[in-house]
Amino acid sequence: MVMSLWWLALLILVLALAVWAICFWNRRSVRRSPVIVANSAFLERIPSFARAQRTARALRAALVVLAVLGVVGSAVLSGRIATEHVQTPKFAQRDIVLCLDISGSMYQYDTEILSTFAGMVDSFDGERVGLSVFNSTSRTDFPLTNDYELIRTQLDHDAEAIDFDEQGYRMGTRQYPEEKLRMFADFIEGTRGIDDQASLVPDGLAACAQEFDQADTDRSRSIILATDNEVNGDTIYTLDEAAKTLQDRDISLYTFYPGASECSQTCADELKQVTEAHDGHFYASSDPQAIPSILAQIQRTQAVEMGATPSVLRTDHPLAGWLLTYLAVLGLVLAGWRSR
Amino acid sequence: MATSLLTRVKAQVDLHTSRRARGLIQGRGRSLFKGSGEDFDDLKFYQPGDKISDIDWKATARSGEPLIRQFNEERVRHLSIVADTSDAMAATAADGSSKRDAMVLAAGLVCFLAQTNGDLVSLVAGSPERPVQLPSRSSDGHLELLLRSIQQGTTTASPAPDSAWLLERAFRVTTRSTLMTIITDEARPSPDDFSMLRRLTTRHDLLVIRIADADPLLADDLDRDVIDIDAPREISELSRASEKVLRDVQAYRDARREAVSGMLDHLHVSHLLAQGATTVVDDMISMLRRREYSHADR
Repeated sequence: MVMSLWWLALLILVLALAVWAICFWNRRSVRRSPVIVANSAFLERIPSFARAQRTARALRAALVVLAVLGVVGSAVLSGRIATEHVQTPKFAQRDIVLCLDISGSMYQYDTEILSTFAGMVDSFDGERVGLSVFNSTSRTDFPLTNDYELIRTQLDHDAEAIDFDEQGYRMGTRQYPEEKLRMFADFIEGTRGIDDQASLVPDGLAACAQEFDQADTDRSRSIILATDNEVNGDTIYTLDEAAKTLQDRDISLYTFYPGASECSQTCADELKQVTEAHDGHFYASSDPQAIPSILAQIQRTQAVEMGATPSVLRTDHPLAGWLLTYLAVLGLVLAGWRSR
Repeated sequence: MATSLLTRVKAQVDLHTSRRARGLIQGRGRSLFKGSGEDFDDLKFYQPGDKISDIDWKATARSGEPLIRQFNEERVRHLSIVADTSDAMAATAADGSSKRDAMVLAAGLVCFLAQTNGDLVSLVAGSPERPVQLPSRSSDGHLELLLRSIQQGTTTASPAPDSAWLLERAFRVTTRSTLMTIITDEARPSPDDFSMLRRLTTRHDLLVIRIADADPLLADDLDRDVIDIDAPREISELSRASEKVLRDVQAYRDARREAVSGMLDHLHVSHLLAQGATTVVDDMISMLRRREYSHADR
């Protein structure tokens, strides 16, 4: 709710206040000198007089209230109350695949990405979201869908499941209840298909690219890839090939790199270089708390990419102000006529 | 000082009474305040200071010396004025004039008639906090002082009316039998004062002059506010313009007036209800004439 002509509303209120003040200070000078009478104390004992006085008081109070309501109503009306919403027309035709590397080093970041995305689902309207997780092999957690209820519950559930310090658990420094263990086991099910290999990022990315369906429709397709690019094994694709596949299929790539890891700079540099070479966007932060702002950035970048400049749609809501003013003026006329 | 109050009242009285009253105030025996009659006692030589009007010209012509007529002591009548000098009397009368002016005129007429007859006039007025009392005197200065006391004692700052106190006070301080003129307004003396009034009638010959109040609703002039002197409050235009309220208020006031009038009639006290300064003198003269006839009938 915003008031675009708020200064006009303010002006009307100030003017009304000024008029009232002027009338207030000059209220007595209008009248001629009063007539002083005596022995009229009996008036209060006359029922019809007391009733008339009460009516007059009530009417006067009503007049004041109605006048105030009328002024406020007309001020609100002149101020043009409207709701604004930012609309990006093409967003409704987005397909987003979250492509998460769930190797041990990524669990904090994955949790944050999943829960942030779960929160963003509320603002979606027509977009489709899918989730694919990979380690040595890839697993589709849920395919592209616009069943937001499912997306939210699934994301919330996954966010909790992945919040698991596997390394700490193996070394015995972290303990988890049975329930939590099972959740985690279920979640990583199918992502460790190849023994002794981990984080096959290029294969995982290529698998994510397979998520997109409806190839014949004109939809915006993007992958949000979160990985530390610490490849440990033999991959079918190289990272560059995987990225090229994406580009060929007109899929935008948004890469999130969670800062320092064991392979550090080389991995980061490769990821950044490959991403940007294929018109992707690269974000890096070692702070899981930065993820919401990075996702917001991705949203904005996506909007620019799609040429969907967010436009502000204003919808006026004159009904309440109009009704208030109309009824108040009507009431004023009636009450004023009655008190004559 | 400007013209004395007495002179002004006299002029007013003359204006109002003109020929009608002339007969009433000519000659002692035909005085408005008919007393016990002409108790002629003796003739005596004129002394400086005696009234010129007391000179018996026929006897003077016969003897060659100025002689004046001497009357019995009781011949000199005592008048008393009991004036309600409360704030209520500073309000507006029914005819739009000031109730105070009407009261001063009424008192002035009494003084004027007393002056022509050489009667003594005393005053009881004021409030419990500031009682006003003037002894019986007949000099012009005294009468002037008396009228001024009434006029200046009656302001909007005066205390609220207390007729019970005033009548009680009048009874207590006026020990001699007098012709007592009580000047107040339409609501007084209240029926509560009945027993006090009756005690007063045992000692005094009472006249009650009541000045009617202005309409507290003032329905024909809504542009002007009406303020009660003792209970200032806003009276809405709605109440003032309402026919029903007007009727009810009128009925109440009529009933109140009737209650007072009925009580006074019951006590056989002469009384009148004047609309204000414009009519009070005429009303008083009519009343006094009626009194004269009724006395003559006796």
